[in-house]
Amino acid sequence: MPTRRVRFLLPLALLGAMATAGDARADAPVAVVDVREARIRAGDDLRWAQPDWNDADWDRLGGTVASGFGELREPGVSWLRFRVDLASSGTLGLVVSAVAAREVYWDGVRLGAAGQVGADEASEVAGPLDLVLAVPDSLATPGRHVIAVRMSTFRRPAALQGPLLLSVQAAPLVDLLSAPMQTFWLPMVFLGGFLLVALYYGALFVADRHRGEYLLTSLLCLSVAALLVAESWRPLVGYDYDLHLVRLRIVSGLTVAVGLLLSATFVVQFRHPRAGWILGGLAAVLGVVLLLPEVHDTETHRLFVVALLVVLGITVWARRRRLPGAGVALFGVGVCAAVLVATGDDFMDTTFFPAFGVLLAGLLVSLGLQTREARQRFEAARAEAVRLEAELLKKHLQPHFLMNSLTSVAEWIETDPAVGVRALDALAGELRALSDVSGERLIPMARELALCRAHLDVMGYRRDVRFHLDADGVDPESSIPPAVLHTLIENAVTHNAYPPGDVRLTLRETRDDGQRRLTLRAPLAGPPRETPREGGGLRYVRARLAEGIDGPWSLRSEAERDAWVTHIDLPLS
Amino acid sequence: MRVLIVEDEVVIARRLKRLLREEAGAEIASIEMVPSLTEAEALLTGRDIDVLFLDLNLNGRDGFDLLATSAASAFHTVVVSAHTERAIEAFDLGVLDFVGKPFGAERIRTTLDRLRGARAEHPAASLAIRSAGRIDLVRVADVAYVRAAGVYSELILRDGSTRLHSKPLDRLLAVLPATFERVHRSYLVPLNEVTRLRVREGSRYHAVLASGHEVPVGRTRVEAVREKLILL
Repeated sequence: MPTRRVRFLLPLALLGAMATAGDARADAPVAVVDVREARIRAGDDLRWAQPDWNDADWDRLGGTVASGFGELREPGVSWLRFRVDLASSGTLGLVVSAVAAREVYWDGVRLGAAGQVGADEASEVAGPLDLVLAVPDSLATPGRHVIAVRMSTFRRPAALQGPLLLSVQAAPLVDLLSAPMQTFWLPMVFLGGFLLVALYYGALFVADRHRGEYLLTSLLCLSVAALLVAESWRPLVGYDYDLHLVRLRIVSGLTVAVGLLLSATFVVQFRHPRAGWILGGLAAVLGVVLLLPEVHDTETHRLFVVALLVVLGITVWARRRRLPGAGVALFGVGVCAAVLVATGDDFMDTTFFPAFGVLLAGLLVSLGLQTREARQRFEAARAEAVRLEAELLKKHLQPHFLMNSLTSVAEWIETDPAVGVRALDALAGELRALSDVSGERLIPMARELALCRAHLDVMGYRRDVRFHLDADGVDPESSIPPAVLHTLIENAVTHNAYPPGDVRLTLRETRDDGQRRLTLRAPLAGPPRETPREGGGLRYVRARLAEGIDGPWSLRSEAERDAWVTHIDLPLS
Repeated sequence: MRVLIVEDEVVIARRLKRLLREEAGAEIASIEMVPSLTEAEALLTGRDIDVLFLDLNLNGRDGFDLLATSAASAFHTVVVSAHTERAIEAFDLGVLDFVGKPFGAERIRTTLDRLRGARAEHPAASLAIRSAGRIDLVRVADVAYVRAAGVYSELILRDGSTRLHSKPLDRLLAVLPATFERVHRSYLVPLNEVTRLRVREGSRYHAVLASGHEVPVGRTRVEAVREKLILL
C-alpha cells in the first residue's frame, strides 16, 4: 500500500524538491525538480523559454522548502526558469502552483497557461492557483529538461505576503490527477460524520434548550466541517489565484472558531465555575490575532494549540473532580494533544482531522455519559419528591402528632366545648393545608406562612400557649419548598416546653448579593437541654431544599442567648 | 395514691389529672405533673410515689430504655402513649397499663382498677432490674419464685441465683403472668411449676416446685392453692 501523507492543509510551500505523488510502483521518483536552482528575471522575452538560454546572470529565486520560493518584487511580467531531471519516460504531468497568472514552457514548448499573463492589470486574466499540465510523451524523455514560467501578478491581493511560487511537482500524470481524490476520500468521510453529528446535536438542543453543550457541540462540528471544506476546496474544486487570500483568511478564521468552540464546549459541558473568564480571555486573544493585518498559518496553528491546552486543563480539572464523562473526554483530548506534540507544526496539515475525530469521539461519549447521569439524577429526584411527599403526610398521620392533638381536642371538648370546636377546626385546617402543599416542589411563601400558622394554632390548643409568627420583610410571592419553615417551627415547638402566655417566633427575610436569607428565631423556654442533633426534621428540610432549590443553598442552626436561630440561604430566583 | 404525671403536653397532662381526680378523687393523695423524665427524677429523689403516668415517644429505642428504667422502680408505671402499636412491647417490660391516646374517663377507670389490684392486661416477659447504675432485664421464664425482702422483692432464679427488684411483692404480682400466685404473705410462685404440696410438722404446708425448690404456703391460702392446682 502506498503510504500517503494525508495533506489536508496545503502548506504554503509544498515540498517542491520532491516530486513524490506517492508512486507505489517505482521506488525512485520519476522526476526530480530542482527549484532551489531556479532563476528569476523581471521583463519579458519569449526567447527566455528556450532551454539553451543562458540564465546564469539571472537572480536566484532563493527560499527554502518551508518558506516557499521567491518573494514578490514587482507585479509586472517576469520569468522563472528551473530544471527537471527525468529518470524514465512515460506520460508525465506537471503541476505549477503560483500566486500569479502564468504560462509554462517545457524545453521552449508552451504546455499551457493559467489565465493570461498581461503587461498591466487590464490585460492580465487571473487563472487557477494550481495549474495541472500534461507533458507530451515526445518531450518527456529521460534526462534533464528546462521549465520556464512566464508570470504576471497584477491581481495578487496587496495584503498577501509570502511566496510567488507555491510548488512545482512533476510526476506521472495519472498520479497527479488522482492525487486529490486519494488524499481526500478519508477527510470526506469525516466531513459526512461531522455534519451528521452537527445535525444530531442541533436537534437535541432544540429538544432540550437547557443543554448549551449540545448547541456548542453542534456548532463545533459545523465549523470543523466548514474548515474541512475550506481546506479541500483548493485540490478538489480549485480557484483562481486572486482568491487565494480569501481562502486563507477563511481557513484562519475557521481554525480560530474551532479552537474557541472547542474550549467553550468543554467549559460548558463540565460547568467550570470560571467559564466566563476562560472563554472571555481566549476570545480576546484569538480576536486580537484575527484582526492583525496578516495571519500566517503558523499563528493560527499556535492559537489552536492554546485552545487545546485550555481544553486539556478543563478535562484534567473535571477528571480530578470525578465529573461524569470526564475520563473519556480527557482520553480524547489527550490523544489529540499527543498527536499534536508528535507532529509539531505539521499538525494542522497532516493529522488534524483524524486526531480531532478521536477528540470528538471522546466528547460524544462523554456527553452520552453525562446524559445518562442526568437521567439517573432526574429519576432519583423524582423518587425523592415522592418520598418527601409521603414523609410529610405520614408525619402528620403518625400517632405522635395526630393522637396527641386529638387527646387535647377531647380535653377542650369536655372542659370548654367552644374552644374544643375551634381546636378541631385548627387541626382540620393544618391537615388540609398540608395535603394541599405536600406534592408541590415549590410553593409561595404566603402558603408556607399559612401552613406554619395553622400548625402554631394547633400547638397553641395543645400547649395552651398563644403562638405568634411575625414575618418581617418576607416577600409573600417568593417561593420555598413546602413545609420547610413548618418543619423548623414544629421542631422548635416540640423541643420547648413554653410556659403559658404568649410565644413569639419571627421570620426575617434579607436580601443581598444575589442571595436571600431567611432567619427563623424561636425563643428558648429554658437553657438548651442538649446539643441538638440533626433529627428527622432537619433531614427532611435538607432533602426538600436539595430537591426544590436550583443553585447553592445552605441551612444552619444555632442556639443564641435566648433563641434557637435557623438561617436558610437561598439563591434569588 | 400518690401520682406523678410525666407529660410535655400541658393540656393532656391536665386532662389526665382531671380524669383521675374525677374517677378516684378520694383515693388520690397527690398528683404532680412534670414535662419530662429529667424533672421527674429530680422530684423522685426523696419522695415516694405509687404510680407514674409516663408519656414517652416510643417510636425509637430511647423511649424504651427510659421505660425500662421506670419499670425497674418501686412504683407502678402506666404508659400513656400515642403509639398503641408498641403496647405489647411496653407490657413485656413490666408496665401495669398502657393507655393509648386519645383516652377518656372509661379508659382511666380501667387503669384505676388495675392500680387497685387487678392484674395487667398483658404480663411482663422480662423484669427490669436496677443494678449498679444500669438496667438488667431478667426473663420471667427464668424466675423460679419470688420472696419478699423488706419493701423489695427477691427473685430466685432457676439457676439458684437471686436478684433484688425494687417493687414490693404485690406490685410485682400485678405485672407477672397469671400463673404466679401469692401462696404466702412473702412468696409468689408460678403454680404450673408446683409438683405437690408437702405437709410438714405443725401442719405447715410447703409447695414443692419442679425446680426442686420448696416454698412455704400460708395457712389461710392452702385451700385456694389446692383448688387452683386441681384446676391446673
